[in-house]
Amino acid sequence: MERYARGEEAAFGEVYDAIAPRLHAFLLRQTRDDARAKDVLQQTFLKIHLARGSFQPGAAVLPWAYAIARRLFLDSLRRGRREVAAEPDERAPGPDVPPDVAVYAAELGERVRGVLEGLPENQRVAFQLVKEEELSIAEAAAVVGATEAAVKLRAHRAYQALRAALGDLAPAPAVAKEGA
Amino acid sequence: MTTLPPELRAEILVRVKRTPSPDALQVRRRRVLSLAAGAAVAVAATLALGVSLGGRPAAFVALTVVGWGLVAWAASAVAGSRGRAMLGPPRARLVLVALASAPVLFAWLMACTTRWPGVRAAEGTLHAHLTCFFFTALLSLAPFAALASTRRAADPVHPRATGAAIGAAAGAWGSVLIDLHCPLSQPLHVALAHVLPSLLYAGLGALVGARLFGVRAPRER
Repeated sequence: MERYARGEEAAFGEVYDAIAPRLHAFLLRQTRDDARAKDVLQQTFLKIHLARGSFQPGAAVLPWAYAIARRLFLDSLRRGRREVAAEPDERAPGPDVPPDVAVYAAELGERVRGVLEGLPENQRVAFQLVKEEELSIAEAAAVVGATEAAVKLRAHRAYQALRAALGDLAPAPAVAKEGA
Repeated sequence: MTTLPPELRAEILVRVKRTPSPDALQVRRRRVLSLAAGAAVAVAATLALGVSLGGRPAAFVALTVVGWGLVAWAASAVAGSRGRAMLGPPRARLVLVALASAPVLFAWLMACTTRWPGVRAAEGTLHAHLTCFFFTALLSLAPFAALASTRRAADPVHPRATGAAIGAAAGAWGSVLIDLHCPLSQPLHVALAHVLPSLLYAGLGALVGARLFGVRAPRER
């Protein structure tokens, strides 16, 4: 990003390759509408491009990019574009995954999603940034504009809510070991 | 992690290529010019108003101007900072700058008057309060524009807080400049006419902050 800020045009592709998949995954979790996620992703990279001259050498790119993506996504919601009723994740399980494990994983994923969507937005985003996007507490705090203590508490509350909601789940089916 | 189609990458790179964007050197030049222009306009306006001790001891004026200048400088540094993650200082720090600048300015001047208590004697009229208030607000305009230009559309997290802090900093600069002109150091006059504009600019900055400093979806060119 520093090279791009200095005017090395080819460096933008490297920035894209480094952070686009993570941003897209984050946006997809917010909207579950792939078209919307890609639209906001495009806007995010355009904003990064427009702000390149202001980039501080040594600054962390990822929290900045996440914050821009989140802001643009929230703005798109506020402008009244209706959320498309999201289809459940229909990705097919890998060929090596036993059917019962695949069903268990799908059900678990659906329940986790349901619980997260029922949480207050600040708790959900804190949990997603820390646990799913694997940002540090400090980075997540910078993204949402809260203190580290607040982000830690929100993520913890979300985790507690998940534990409480999923406590009745049966243990995952055992997966046969290779060669056994 | 999701796999993105190569067409999306190509599309984004094409959009970026056809959208001009200044590089770091160009932005730095613009920023320096903007701040210099803001300073020049503010100083010119002060000189037009007239610099005068008005019977105040020179040491008193120097102490108040330097002290207020430091407050304004510190407030500007916080308000204009991008922070280590390009997301500016924490919201709490920006709000502190927005709310505390005015009281600190007032407290500093009152502390200075303890050394020269005679300067508090001259009472201001309502006309003097209003005139000074107006000119302080006017002198704060150029610093506000200059500081605002450095953070325009650049805050995706707390644009209102950034706006409030920038407003307070600009108001503090206005206070510094009016202090070079106005001979009145009576507490009521200082509070209403020299310091209150900093609080009001903080409020104004908060009001316009989302629009001026917030990150918005880029328009297609």
